[in-house]
Amino acid sequence: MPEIKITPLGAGQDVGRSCILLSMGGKNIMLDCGMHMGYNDERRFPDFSFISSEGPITSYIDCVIISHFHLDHCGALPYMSEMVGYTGPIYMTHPTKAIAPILLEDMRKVSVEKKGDSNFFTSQMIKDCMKKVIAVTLHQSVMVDNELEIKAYYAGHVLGAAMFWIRVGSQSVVYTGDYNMTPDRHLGAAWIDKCRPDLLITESTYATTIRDSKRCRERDFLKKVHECIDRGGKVLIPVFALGRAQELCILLETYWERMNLKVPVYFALGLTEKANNYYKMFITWTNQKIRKTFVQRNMFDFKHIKPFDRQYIDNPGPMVVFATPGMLHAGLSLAIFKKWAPNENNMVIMPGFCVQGTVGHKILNGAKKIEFENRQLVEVKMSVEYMSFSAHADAKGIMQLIQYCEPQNVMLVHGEAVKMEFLKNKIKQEFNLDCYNPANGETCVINTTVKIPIDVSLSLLKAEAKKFNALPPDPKRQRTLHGVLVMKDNSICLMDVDEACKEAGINRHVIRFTSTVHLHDPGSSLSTAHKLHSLMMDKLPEWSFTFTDGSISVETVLVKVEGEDDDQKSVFVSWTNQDEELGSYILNLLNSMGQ
Amino acid sequence: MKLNPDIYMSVCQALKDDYEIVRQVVIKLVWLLGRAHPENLIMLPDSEQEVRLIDDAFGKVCSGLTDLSMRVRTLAAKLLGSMTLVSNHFLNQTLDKKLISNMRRKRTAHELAWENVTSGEWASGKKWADDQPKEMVDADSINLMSSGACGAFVHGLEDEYLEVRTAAVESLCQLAMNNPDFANLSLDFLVDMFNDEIEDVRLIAIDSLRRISEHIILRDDQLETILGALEDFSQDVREGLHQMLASCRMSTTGGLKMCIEKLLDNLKKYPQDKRSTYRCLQRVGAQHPELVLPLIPALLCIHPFFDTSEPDVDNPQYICILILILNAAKFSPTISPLLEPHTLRHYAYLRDTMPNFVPELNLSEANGNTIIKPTSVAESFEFLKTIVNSLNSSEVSYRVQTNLLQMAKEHLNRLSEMDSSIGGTAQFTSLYIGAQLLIAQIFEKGLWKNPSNLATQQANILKTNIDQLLQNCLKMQYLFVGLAANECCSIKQFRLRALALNLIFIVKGSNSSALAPCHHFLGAVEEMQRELIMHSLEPDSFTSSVFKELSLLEEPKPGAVARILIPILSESKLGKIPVPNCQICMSTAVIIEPSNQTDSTLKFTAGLTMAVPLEAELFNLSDASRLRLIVKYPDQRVHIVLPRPAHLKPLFFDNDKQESQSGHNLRLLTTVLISHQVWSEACNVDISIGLSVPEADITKRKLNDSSSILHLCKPHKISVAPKPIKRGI
Repeated sequence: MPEIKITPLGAGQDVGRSCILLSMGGKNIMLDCGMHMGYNDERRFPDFSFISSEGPITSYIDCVIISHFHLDHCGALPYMSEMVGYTGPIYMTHPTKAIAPILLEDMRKVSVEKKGDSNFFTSQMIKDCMKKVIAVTLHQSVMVDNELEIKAYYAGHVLGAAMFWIRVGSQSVVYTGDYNMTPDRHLGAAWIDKCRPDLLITESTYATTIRDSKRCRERDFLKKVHECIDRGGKVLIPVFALGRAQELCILLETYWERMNLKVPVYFALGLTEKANNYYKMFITWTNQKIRKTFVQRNMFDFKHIKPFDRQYIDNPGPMVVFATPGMLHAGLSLAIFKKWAPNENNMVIMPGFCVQGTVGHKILNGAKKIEFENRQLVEVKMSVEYMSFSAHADAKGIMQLIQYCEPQNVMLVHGEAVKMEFLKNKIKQEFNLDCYNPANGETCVINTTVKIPIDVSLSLLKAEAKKFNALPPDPKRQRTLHGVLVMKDNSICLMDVDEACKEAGINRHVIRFTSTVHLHDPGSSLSTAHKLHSLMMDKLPEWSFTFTDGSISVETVLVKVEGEDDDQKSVFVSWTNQDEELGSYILNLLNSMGQ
Repeated sequence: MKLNPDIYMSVCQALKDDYEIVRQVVIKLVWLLGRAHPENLIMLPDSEQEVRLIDDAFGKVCSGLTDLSMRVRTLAAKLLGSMTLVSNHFLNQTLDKKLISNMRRKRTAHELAWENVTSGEWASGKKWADDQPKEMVDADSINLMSSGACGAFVHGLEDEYLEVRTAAVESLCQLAMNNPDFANLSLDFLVDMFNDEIEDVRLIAIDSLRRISEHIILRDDQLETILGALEDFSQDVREGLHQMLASCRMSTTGGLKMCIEKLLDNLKKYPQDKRSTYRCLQRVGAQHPELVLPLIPALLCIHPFFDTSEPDVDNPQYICILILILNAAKFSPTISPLLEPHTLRHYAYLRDTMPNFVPELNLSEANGNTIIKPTSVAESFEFLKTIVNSLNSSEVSYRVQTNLLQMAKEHLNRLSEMDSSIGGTAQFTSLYIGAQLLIAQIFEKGLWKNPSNLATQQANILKTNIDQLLQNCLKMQYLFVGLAANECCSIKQFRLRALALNLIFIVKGSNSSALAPCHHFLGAVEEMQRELIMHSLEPDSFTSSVFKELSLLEEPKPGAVARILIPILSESKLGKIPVPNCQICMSTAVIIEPSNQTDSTLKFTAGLTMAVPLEAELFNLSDASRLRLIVKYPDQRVHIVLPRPAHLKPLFFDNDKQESQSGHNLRLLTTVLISHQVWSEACNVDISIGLSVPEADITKRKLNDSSSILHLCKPHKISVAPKPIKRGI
């Protein structure tokens, strides 16, 4: 029994540092290579010593596939390739290859320069690592070596996110990375064809959630922003530089355009500007509207959104500002928050989740006074709103994907264990599929059915086609081939019997079964034969009978009536091995009649 | 041919086929079967229950909305709309989506809004978790795979492709039009579609809402979201919303007040919406008299003790409020006693200036100084008939006849101003009489027979008369709709006469080539013959003798034709004036924007173009493709512009049937491009709307001549000043 072995090094019953080892058909593939944002010690990287306790891992891994540029999916890549040592191919999509180094560099700066981390990769390492990357396009099938083939599918989620289909021999696996089944303002929905893999490895962040329609949330968001600027307030939207920020920008931009609003919208510069350029370039990866209109105007060339300058903080009048970082824990967004919080006309909208301990988390929980490190006390009078703009598939979306690609087995990763349990049961119940959710370091073995490809000799196929075409057309009729399976020097072939005999140099022997049934029927034997003929015609309308000199023949079955002028007739039935089924049916028919 | 319902089960098996073409065909088949045999009962697999075929088919088509292929989804979304026989239970499921969050049941935003309203408590918006999930859900009770109809439209409306979304909105609307309950359910979803990123989808959503609006009573929170979309920059969206609000019902006075305030606010922002807002408030007032009543003191600023200042009656906001109140007053007798004297005076003024927005009210004391103008009386048509009859019967001298015609023409012109309902008929008859008068004038002295002998001045007069006559004929042919076949033919015979006159004039009186006019005349004769046969009508004396004589002619050379025509023309008498037909309407146009009274000068850089917004209403148009915009510059240059077909929209939405008969009523919303070289000062540019007619009847004299255009309205003047390009700074 061939098998597929999967060992999650990260993201097994957990979110963060996605890294899954997959081995099938003698190939070892690493899916994603992320880091955990919640830890600052060695736990932030996957445990590569699992692969090899000492030295480089090149010889153990055939290829590495990165699904998208989020750091929990690609953050450990320079560490693995440069510090642990890996020189093999790394595959990712073009946008991921473009944006990932920016994010890696940004994270490196924060870790090394702000937190004073040593033992971290350097800028040069990021560059060296990116040199090993091979970029792939959607639906391009890439042969990594003679047996290993990979293919990318669109996954929504963020720009350049992809799902990968991986095949070795007759076994195949689909790895989704993160994906989104509902389209948003700048990206389309994930899409995959009916590839029927042996295993689908899917994320399950929202395993127990079914979400409301996106439109409601958007409308809510826009309404709140509009009301606030109508009463002359300032709106602060803390965001992370990539992904949701672009979506919200497009949302506001189109709304401003629609409503002909003149209130300024600012976006804090920095990382975003660089990233925006990539968004402008990778138009083919965005949704229908942006793809269709970019010839007239690229949606990412914002008309109403202008770069922010620190001195605008004190400008009078309403405005909307996007500022980083997203959890109000440092930087520009926090500086703006301090200035604007005491005015009840203002508003802050948190578009995503906030980690405990951040200012964002505090105000979302209703804190009215925030104390800062230098004993500074800020009163929060501004209104605080929470909006979830997350781009993961919900439970329905996951089920939909399973329905689309029709796998044999499903594996859940990138989610919490308890939630996975629910979805796992549901998948078993509704699709009747085996479902797995291994923990980190736990190896999961999946047996797959063997598929053996067989050649069929051309003459055999043609003969069958000829026969089929001669009959009146009926698409429902089964088409059967009659032949011999010949195994010869490692190849298997289905051949015509005579052909096979000739090839093997054997004379063909025919086995016939014969049997005699006694019937009680007065009259001549010919009339009995006629009766039998009409009876069989009646019972087997699909077969063609020939009736000659008192004997009935159908295919190779021969029925003869003997015994002249006697009441007792003996009916002689004979058939060859191929027509065993038909022959025994007719014999049974006669037997049952005889009684 | 009907399909056999027995194949249903085997067809359904192919729903999961690998090929999208197969799935497409299967969905179509299922739909056909469902429509052909809706009431057949089928057994559900693995259960004892029986369902109607249409319900099961509906579920199957719904499942197509989550298909892998966009084409299948589009098809499924389209087909759903016509499955109106499906039972309510299944229909309502299509909008149902149970939300859970971490295994807890969560309410959708729509349900939340509904609960807030019913509990009398408003969403605070302050708490970040007020949509926090409530009760735990039993893991077994959740069905994640949307089985059949469940949540189908929720999916369809959220689809990635606009084709699917558009089709889903249209189907939703079709289903809702037949089912009031479903209409109320779908309202929230349609309102959400106002926020779609593609304008076409938004417009379709608004239009759908208008179509289902008769079933709907708007809750205040729903009204609020709808009103939020009113600020849209696109005029189409705003006007669609106005129409929608006009036909909806509102539930509370508070909602109505909010609606009025928002409409007035919006009018400040977009003054061009004036007429649309008037129309909207007119219907709103007429539909909610009892809700308007308590708002009157606030709206009119009536103070119990003090007299407040009289508002300006030309202020659009004030007019809006008056239209609302006066229309409500028609249905609620308690309103009119509340009104102040100056309001009643304003009523009289509005009733006179915009009678179609303000209804007729029975005001007890104010009756004295209002002149109520009857818009239409039966007598006027009788009068029209009498005039025409008296003309036809009289056997009198030429001079008396001319005088009579002249008098009749004046009468008719006055009549058309007084009574709009027969205005078209009166205008038409008057034009006909005018043409007869012209022909009589030409015949009077017999000069037309040999114009070469005339002095230049006389020849010019003759020429002008003939041109005038041809122009008149064209007007009769193209400016009217609702003409019966015999009227059409009598106009065309008249035209033949005019063409004959023209031909004689060219052959005899000028040295230009007469080949083309002759050819044209012969063509017209042939066409006339065909048409008379088709409608089996008798030609008049002139036409019949022309037919006779021309058939004898061997070679139709211009000279020969003219020679034949002279005796025929001089002998034949004028035909009778057609009996008035009250179906006739005249094509007219009213330019609303730019208005004629603006004093401000539009400035632009010379040599470049400037776009002037133009809004016009066109009535009784027979063929919209003949429509032209005419821009006339002070240097007599004329630009004739063909408006884009996309800028023409039907004026009234609801009476499509009536239009085919009396021509199209259209609304033109476009921009006119104006461009010129530098002028020393601002000058007026004339903008008008006309119909282009075939040019062959009138010989073209010079380029840029607008003789082939029939004006539909008086030109509006806009003051324009092209400025020289500034060089340097």
